[in-house]
Amino acid sequence: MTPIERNAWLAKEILVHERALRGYLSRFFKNVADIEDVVQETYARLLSLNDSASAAVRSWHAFLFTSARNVALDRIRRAHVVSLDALAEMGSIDALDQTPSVDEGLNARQELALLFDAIASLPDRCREALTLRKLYGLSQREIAQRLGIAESTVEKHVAYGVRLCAERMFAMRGETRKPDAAKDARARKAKADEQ
Amino acid sequence: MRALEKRKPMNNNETEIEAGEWLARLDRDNPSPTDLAAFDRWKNADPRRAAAYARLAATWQALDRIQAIRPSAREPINNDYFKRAGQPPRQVPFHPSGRHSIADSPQHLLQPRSAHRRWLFSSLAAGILVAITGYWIADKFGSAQSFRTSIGGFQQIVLEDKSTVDLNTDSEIRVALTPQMRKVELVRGEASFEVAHDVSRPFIVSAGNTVVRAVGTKFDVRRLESSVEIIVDEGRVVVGAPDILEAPQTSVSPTMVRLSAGQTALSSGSGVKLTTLPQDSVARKLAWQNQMLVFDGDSLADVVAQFNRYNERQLVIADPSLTTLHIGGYFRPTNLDAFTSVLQSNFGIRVHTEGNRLVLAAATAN
Repeated sequence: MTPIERNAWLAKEILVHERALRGYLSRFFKNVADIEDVVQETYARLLSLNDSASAAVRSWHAFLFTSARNVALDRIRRAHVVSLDALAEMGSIDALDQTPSVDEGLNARQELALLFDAIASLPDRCREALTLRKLYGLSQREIAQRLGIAESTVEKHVAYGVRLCAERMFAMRGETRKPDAAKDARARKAKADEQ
Repeated sequence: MRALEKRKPMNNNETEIEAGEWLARLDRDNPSPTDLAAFDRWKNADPRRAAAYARLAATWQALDRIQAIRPSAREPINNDYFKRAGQPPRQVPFHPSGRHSIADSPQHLLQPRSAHRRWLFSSLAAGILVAITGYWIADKFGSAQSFRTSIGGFQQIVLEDKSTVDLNTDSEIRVALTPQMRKVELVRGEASFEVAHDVSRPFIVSAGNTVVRAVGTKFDVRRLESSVEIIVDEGRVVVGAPDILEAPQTSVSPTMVRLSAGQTALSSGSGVKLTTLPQDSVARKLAWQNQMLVFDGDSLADVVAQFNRYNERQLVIADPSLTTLHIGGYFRPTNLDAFTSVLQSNFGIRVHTEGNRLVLAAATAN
């Protein structure tokens, strides 16, 4: 795969499930930083697969969640303080049974709306920098000249903007997580913590 | 900023922050060999770094697709094209003159309809309706308002009953609201209606000898040369001859056809022909509401006909062998240059200008 093909695959097959994946992991980790670590480690495993292993994967959605569960289990086992309840639950629950069904593909309008929303949600200067870079195709240097700011400042806007867009597009897409599920998870964790 | 306050705390681990910094560094014009070498060392030291970087690179690449709504090169660059609606608008939401510059009103694009409408209403409260009073004209229904767009124009109108009308290129409507009935005449072109629910006042759209009756629904009406096309996006409507006007509002006589969401009808002198469209196809046909054209394997002949509705400069296919080429993708209807450059680069089609015409010819064999 070329880098461009790989990026397209990543966005289409993997990142679209990130929000659901984070929701799943939030039942076992209280700390956002832990979830973040598990997500990164899971992506690292996926990206390190060789071609023949990749070719054997029939559902990336299923593979993603199974991998994430294994990463999470490793992590929980290494941290000795975790409650046995949580571990038992993690091991017994089939990740896929507990996750929302696969998101339906977005149509062209929805996809553009998602991108539009991501850029629109950025802070003012950052939004201008990304607008000029992505919509108009200006270089970072041209953007610096146009906005009358240092090139290094444009670079900072890009660095920050791409992270916010990733979060907006993939980590919190739609915000449709069922409130009940989140509440249940909190209740379970609170119970586990007491013991 | 409101948006900032609402935002959840973002991922903040070191790997993520560094990945963003590397992406931005490599996005500069000419990253130095030193930078590239340092990036490789950074990335190869930990597979999680490579993964965090790949995630952001995929995001960065996906953002390129926003170019589908890039304004025409003739329009001045707007640094803040994506500024959110909701802030005090810098432009009035519609131009009575009809011609509506795309760069003027990014808020009209792709915003959820409800947010969009809230914004429009507050603008209305501010008295912007005053701007259109010049278009009041009297006709037999009492007083009616007229709205029109020129070629390439787009206008969104909020009626007094809070129904909205999107007016496509080269179109004209006349609106007469009375306590008994909400009546719109589509004089020419195409309009989409989102009708505010009001059972006591049916919403009637007439186009030539075709009449559409609705209560609360979303539908589109387009006048073609010798027929009228109706597409129902949500809810249902009744289509028939002008005698609908006299019929009791709940009745459906044998001469009327009932249409529900996803259905389209072609009404002509010989009657009403009904078809059901896939959801995706309805969305494509109505993409003009976002000032876009969306194609999915359409023939070049159809695509050219679409573009020609929106532009004074007309595309002409010189070579009959080209008419059946299949075209996909999204385009700005008024950005002919972007479209012809795709034809040239992806299909090897030669484009040359003859006065006000852009002539498309197959590439020569050699």
